[in-house]
This record gives sequence, structure tokens and C-alpha cells, in this order.
Amino acid sequence: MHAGGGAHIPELVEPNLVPLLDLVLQMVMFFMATTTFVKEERTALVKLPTASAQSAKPVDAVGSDIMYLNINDRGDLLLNPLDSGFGLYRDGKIDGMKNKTFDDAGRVVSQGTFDRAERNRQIEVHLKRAFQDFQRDAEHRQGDDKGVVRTLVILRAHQDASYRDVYEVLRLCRQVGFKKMQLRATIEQAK
Amino acid sequence: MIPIVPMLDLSFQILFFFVITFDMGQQEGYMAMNLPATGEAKAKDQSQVDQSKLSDTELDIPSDFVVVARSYDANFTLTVRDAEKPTEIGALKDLDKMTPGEQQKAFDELFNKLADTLKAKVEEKKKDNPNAANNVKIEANSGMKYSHLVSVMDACVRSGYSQVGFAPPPDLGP
Repeated sequence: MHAGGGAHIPELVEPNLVPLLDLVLQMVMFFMATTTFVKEERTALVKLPTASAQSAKPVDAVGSDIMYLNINDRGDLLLNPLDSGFGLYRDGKIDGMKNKTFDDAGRVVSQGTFDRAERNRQIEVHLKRAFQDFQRDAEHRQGDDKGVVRTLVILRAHQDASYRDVYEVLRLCRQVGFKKMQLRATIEQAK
Repeated sequence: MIPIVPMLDLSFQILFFFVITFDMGQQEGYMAMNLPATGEAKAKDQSQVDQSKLSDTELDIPSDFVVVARSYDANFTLTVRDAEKPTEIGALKDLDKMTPGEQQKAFDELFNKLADTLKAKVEEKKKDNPNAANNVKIEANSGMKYSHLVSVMDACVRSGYSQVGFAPPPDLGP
């Protein structure tokens, strides 16, 4: 209502929808981008080795029965924040560091000392627990493969990791019962 | 009237996002492999394997030869070992004195040589028996860089050995 006017002029108040639209679309994009990266568990900490296009086949559908294992250049197993075992390791990786200490904000204060045997043991526990989870899922399946774990383990190791680090993870995978395995590499571009 | 300018701003942002994330060079590929054996083979044959048992009792797939790769400090050697005798493919020395470009070139040459040798072997084998098994095992020492291991694996697959397995590092304690 206008205070001074005698005549009643209806005021047209339109909500400004454009900023809202901007925000919504940006959010949609954000979620689109992050869900893909979380699902594929790609991380900048792992720089894959390169292989020729003849041996490294493009990844198409891998299905949903998969497990990613990311290994960094020091041979530590990086954990997915969505993984149930994530909470056990405050900085999100199994690195076998003994007596590592954190401050209240979760930052590493002292790195501790590296113990390979300890790291192997921790990785084994982690893989065993993961295998049991997959086995439980498999028990609920119907059909011939009821109770049989057919999970594909996808190993993504950093190019500077040593053979020993990779080999130990492979051996542990097999030991706990995984049967299908695949390595990942960056496909080399034709020169 | 619909204001078109903010819409345009947004479209440019979307466009920019897709432009910077578009990266052909980072395409990821998979390499198939055989898992290493963890225990002693208890079955004589793959058909006798008890499917209900854990995999560490399974028979490791036999291979007719082994690619032996050794990497110590600045040296790198490649050997192919079959039932009779080892054949040296090549050795690289003083890698620490080379520039990264020279190193890359030396490694590329060595791995191409390995692929050629393996290709000759596989052709010879296929002549006698077209259905011959095509598996090979890689035996690397524990300090080997993973990128070199993948290059060796790459050379094996390129030359026609689709089944690649890994032998335990010989310098790894029990």
C-alpha cells in the first residue's frame, strides 16, 4: 500500500529466482562431480604408471561388485572415507607408523617409526574384514553363486611404489580369499 | 522479461568446468593379471582343486618361462629364464648419471627388446602347437619400482602373453 497515493496501485513483487537457479545448478554440478570421484575412488595422491594401449584396456563397465585399493608412493593403503574401517585410522591411510601422534585438530604431530610387519598385519585385518563384508552380501544372494565372493579387486598403485609393497598387498588379497584382481594404469598416448 | 545475463554467466561456468576437466591423457585402463600363489599347491591339476577350500591351496598356474627383472641402485637388468637356461635381454648401468629423458629412452629400448624376444618365442611355440598356453611369470626384486614392473608386464602382453603372473620377490624373507 502506498501511503501518499489516493488510488490503489497493485504492486508487482516477483521473487528473484535467478540466484537461486545459479545456486541450485552449481550444487547439482558439485554433487555430480564428487559422487563420481568418490565412487571411483580416484585420488590425486596416486599417480598411476603408464602402459601401452595394447595391454591397458579402457575401463568400461566394472559392475558394482568391486573393491578399490589405492596405494601411495610409500606403499601405504589409502582408505575410502566411506569405508567402515576409516575411523580406525585418523589420517585415512594404513601406513604402519608406530607411535604416531595427533593434535586435537587431527594433524600429525609426530610421524612415529615405520614398521612394515605392523603395516602388513593392519592391511591383512582390513582386507579380511572387507572380505567378510562381501561374503555376508553374497550369502543374501540367490542362485548358484550364493555365498561365493566374486568381488573384483582393483589395485591402483602409485608408479613410485616398490614391487614389494604391491606384491604384499596382492598376496594378502589372495590369502584372505579374493580371486579376481585387476591392476590399473594410465593408457599411454600414441606418439 | 527473463534476465538472460546470469544464465549466460552460469553457462560459461559450466562450460569452463567441462573444459578444464576434459583430459584425454589421463584415461585409465585395466590390466588383467593372475594373483600370486600364497601357499603350496596341494592339487596336482587345476581340475582337482577343491572349490570350497581357501585359495592358498590352489594350484598356481604354471608358466613355461620367467622374466627376471632386477633393479639395484642405478642398475637394471632383464633376463628371460626358461627350462633350459637364462638368456640376458639387456642391462642398464649408471642410470643416476642420466637425465630423466635419457633414462626413459634407455628403458623404452630395453622393454622393446624384451617384447621382441618374447614375440619370437611365442611365434616359435605357436608353430608347434597353436593352442599353446600363453602365460608368463615376472620375477622382480622387492626394490623394483612399480612403474618398471608395469612396463615389463606391458612388454609381455604386447608380445602376446595375455596371462601374466607374479612370482614372489626372491629377496623377500619368508
